[in-house]
Amino acid sequence: MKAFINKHEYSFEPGETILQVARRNGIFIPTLCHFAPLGHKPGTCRVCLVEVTDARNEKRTVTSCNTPMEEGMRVDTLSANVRNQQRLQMEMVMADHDQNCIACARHGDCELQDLGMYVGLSSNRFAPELRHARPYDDTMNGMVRDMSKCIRCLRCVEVCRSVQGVAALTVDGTGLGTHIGVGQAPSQNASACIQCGQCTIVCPTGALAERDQNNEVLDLIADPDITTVFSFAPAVRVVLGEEFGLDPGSNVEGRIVAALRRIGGDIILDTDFAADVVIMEEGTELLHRIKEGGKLPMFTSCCPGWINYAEKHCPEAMPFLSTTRSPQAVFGALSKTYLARQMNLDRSRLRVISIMPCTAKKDEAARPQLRTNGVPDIDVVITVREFARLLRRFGLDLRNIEPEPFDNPFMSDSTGAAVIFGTTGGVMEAAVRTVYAVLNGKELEGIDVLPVRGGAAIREAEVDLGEGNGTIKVAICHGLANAQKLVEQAAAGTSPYTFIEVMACPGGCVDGGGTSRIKGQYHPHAEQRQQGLYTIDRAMPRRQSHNNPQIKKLYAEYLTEPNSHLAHELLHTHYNDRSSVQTESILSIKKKLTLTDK
Amino acid sequence: MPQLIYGVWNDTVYDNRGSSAPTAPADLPIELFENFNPGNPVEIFLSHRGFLVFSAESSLIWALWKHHQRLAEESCGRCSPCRSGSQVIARALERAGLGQTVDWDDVRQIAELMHNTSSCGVGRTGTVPLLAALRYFPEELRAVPAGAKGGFYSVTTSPCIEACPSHVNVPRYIDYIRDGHNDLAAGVVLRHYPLAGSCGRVCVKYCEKACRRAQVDTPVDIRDLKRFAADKTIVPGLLHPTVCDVAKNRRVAVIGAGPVGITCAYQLLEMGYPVDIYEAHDRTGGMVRYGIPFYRLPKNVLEQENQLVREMGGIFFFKQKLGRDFHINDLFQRGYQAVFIATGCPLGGYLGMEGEDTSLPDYENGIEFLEKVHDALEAGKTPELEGDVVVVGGGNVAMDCCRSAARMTSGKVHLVYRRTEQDAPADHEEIEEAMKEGVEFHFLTGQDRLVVEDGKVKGLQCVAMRQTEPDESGRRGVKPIPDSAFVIPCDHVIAAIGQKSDPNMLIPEDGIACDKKQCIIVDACQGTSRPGVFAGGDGTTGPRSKGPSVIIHGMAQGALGAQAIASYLETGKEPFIPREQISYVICKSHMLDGDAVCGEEKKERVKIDALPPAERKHNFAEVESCMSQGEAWKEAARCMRCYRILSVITRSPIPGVQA
Repeated sequence: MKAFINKHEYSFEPGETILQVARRNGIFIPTLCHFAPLGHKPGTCRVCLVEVTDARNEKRTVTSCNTPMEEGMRVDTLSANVRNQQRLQMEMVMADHDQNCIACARHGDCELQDLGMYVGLSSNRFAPELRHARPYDDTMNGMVRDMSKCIRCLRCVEVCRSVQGVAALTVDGTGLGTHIGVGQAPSQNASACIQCGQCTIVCPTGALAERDQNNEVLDLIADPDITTVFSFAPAVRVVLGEEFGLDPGSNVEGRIVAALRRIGGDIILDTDFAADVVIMEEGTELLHRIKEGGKLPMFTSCCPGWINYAEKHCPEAMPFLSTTRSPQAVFGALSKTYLARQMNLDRSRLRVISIMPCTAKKDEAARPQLRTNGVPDIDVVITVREFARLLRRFGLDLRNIEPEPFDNPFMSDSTGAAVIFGTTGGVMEAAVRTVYAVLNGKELEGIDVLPVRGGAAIREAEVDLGEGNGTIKVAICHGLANAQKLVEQAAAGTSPYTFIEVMACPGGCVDGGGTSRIKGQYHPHAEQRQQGLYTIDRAMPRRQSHNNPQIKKLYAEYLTEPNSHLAHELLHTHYNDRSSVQTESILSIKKKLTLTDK
Repeated sequence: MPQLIYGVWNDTVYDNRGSSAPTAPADLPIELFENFNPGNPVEIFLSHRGFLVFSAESSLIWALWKHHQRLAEESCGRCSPCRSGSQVIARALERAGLGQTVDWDDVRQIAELMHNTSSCGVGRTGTVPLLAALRYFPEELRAVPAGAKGGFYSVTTSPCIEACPSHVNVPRYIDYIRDGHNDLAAGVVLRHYPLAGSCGRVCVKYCEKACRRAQVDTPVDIRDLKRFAADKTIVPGLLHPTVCDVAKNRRVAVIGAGPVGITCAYQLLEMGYPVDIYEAHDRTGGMVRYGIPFYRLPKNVLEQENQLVREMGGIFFFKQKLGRDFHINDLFQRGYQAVFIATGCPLGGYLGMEGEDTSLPDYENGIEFLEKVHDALEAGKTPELEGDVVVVGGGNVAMDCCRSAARMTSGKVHLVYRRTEQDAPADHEEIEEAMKEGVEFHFLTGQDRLVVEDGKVKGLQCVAMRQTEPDESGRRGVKPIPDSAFVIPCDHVIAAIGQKSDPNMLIPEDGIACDKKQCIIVDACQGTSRPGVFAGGDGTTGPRSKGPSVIIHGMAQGALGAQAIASYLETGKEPFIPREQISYVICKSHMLDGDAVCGEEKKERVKIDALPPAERKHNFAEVESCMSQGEAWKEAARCMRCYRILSVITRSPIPGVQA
């Protein structure tokens, strides 16, 4: 089939939209709400206007994102009329948008600003008139929902539903009051939201963003009485480079260490060390459950988004969760005990700051279970995006920083097993490497456990645990929309698996809700980031957690053995049922209806 | 007859200012605009077709301002031109009305943007009157003269809302589902009646027949979306009623706990009236309980929904049959000040043919048969039948009978109907399902004689029919073809040819007029010939009902009856219901018909999972499943929100409406 765009003829398939045909042929039409990676086109912004003349010679203005191309249609994307309408439309979008760009988390990375430039917006006549109060919700530890910045593209709702299966976000209100809400919950913190932060990855403006805690970090650095302990998660080293124009997936571990020293961090450590500890604890826990007939399948517990999901959406999963704390939580607990002892530091003056690819990690740090005498084990968590801003506040550009090595003898060494924690399948692979070695007294041959790698939403593999130990079935799942089925099987007692790894975000931590976002795209560098981790793993001198010399030292000098009494006290946790079935009276529901017909 | 002074309608300009030969839209019954409520003339009317000004004293700018204020309230706020534009325009019109300067060029540009690029009917069609006025009558946009304000009433409706007898705001509840508020979606339906899940299963869905999406692909699955909302909220008990405050001291008796009586009681309880419900059976539900088989409507759904009325404070008296246990006069003596009769048509008819013996156990009418099936299932038994069955009839009762019979017997089930498949009043889907379940259909076949041997039914003698030429109304009759008789051998015959009201319920002392079929005669507000007595649903006849009908009509009458009763108790008068008046104007003017859809993307309608026909034998489990949450979001996104805003300005204020 044939049609014309700006007088040039193009062929198209039936059902293709005007925008699809234009994009395929390199013709630019500005869009805002449209989010191609998720097939999301709610048609709310109405900016992608074009003028069409159909076969009957009728001329009309249409939105190109959701208007099918027709045989013989003539499309004009450039006429003065189109441009004027696009500009006026943009003025309508801007009219009730918060105008305080300088205070916005998305400053410099805003798709709305870009659009204003594309359409040549030169005035904003209606903004003073249409100021309207909409919810500002900072009840969460991980994120802030500022609806004065919402442009109603509904991308967040889409990702929350279709990728995460969480469906915490709703569309509330009418007219200028329309905003993203959280159902009938009193706040987002009390809602079904698990703070995975995937909505902050897709939000084109700063309406949904990470809670910025850089000022807290700066205060700690500036305080002469405080010793700051910095660490960063496996994924951070293959993501942060993107913020400074380095190739996606490139390892900037050494540059981060150097940068942290430059901004005044006192002790620079590695969360990877704690990941190795997690493998020792979790692997031992798994073997114990298998031998003693404990609850199986055992689900991993490293991912705070997944833990929030289990507690809020499917508490029946809780008995199946590993009790081992996450690497971040293990790191916090050991910093204020083991490290303080080894380095002879006063724990009350220690402050642990972690850099995470994750918004839910901020929430994890605030869990009451992860406090000692009311003091949190981890004091501040900042995301990759915040950390990039923090470095800019120091005038630092990662590209110009020479890499430096870790130098702490207690909690900085790590293995290849630890670094792959940052990708889906990585925790499973690391666990298999160590569990096999523990059972057989020798290392697994062919250390790359390839069947657990890959990108499929749910992967399963059979793992041979060595002679006399049989094989176990394991499963790996990422993107919470896929987890529900595995939980249902487990609760029903029909699960064929022994061990299941769940990471809330699609791709795992490398694509977490606190990672770098690329405008209009959804984790376009997932593959490079993942390969970045596998590359580091391959180059590591030691690739199994139990071979980390600092781990051996930790157990020999402090914890005695995995799952010991002290290990339980410091490195394990428990979970609380936070699910709630909301019932409501018909009368109160009727009062909430926005209906104008009486 | 109202005089059109000027206006624009369907893009045609009418200007009779100073004209000696006034013109008016030819296809519009202009007398509809004589009075809105009695004695209150329409001065200006605005809709998606344009605007009409009937009074020189009226103010067009005030009308436009009120209309746009309504539009701004109605804007769902998703799409930018309507969200912001509606506000900018409403504010500009207010300023213009106050005599302040307005840049009309700005207003026109924004109105055009809303009209051309909004995503739904609110912004697209709500701006039509303003654009027409700006283009053709800019000189009439003057400041509002003192005292020019009269009454204002506005309604936002759509083809599906108008098609629904209860005027349920269909796009609104679909929006709520799409937006993640299943509870609010159910709440929209619960404003009208409590039986949301039941109606979501068995409604004949006039709304879907009116759905404009049919022009693009297929209508939105409105009924299943309603069911979805109810199944997620009301049925599992997540939405619960509160005991209603008894604010009023006048007691009302409702006779019949079917959908009509239940809806009337529900509405009256909400208004604060104490309501007692008298029911002949020992359970609630009426014909919806006994007539609709379990495989279409599991009774726990109905039970949960009827329970709402009990929890709101309604008191049920079971095994109390009108005409047997009490009369209307008794109710007034017991202190009730108003009565609503919703006794329905509880009796099945017989065929009235040769050899008919209604005492035969193998020959029964559809209503009795279905009630027996219900009772067995309710007692936890799976009902059985031996041998072959013939069902006679072409309505939904006939389908319920043959589909039930197909579940009960290992033999053959036949359906005999004298007209064609197209003429059958049953839902077409019901016919399809019956066919899937193995029922053999004999269309254009008339029953002739019951074949009985030794007191046992042995068959049904039938004749072939042929269609006659269409009569004046276009309907084709049928005539038997001579010498075409044949016998369908069978062991049971079920007559499912209609229902009638019980002639033994009313006595002359009740003072309630009936027609010759013993149906109670009611007026447009469900009032009977006796003051204080109202009636609705099957078994009544009036402007809104002619004998047995479907649940949604009945529930609409139940709700209307409640309003009429409240008006009678408070003022002694008939209510004026502006919403009904607007619907009357829309219906008579066909104002919502025929708007073309263009440039819409196709989106596939959700496929509802159904029990495979092979698994339906000896199984009364529900056939259709509820759609999943994901399917509901997808289906909800198919709604095009064909909203139209209609506003009327009257000379004086409209009773019960705040201008």
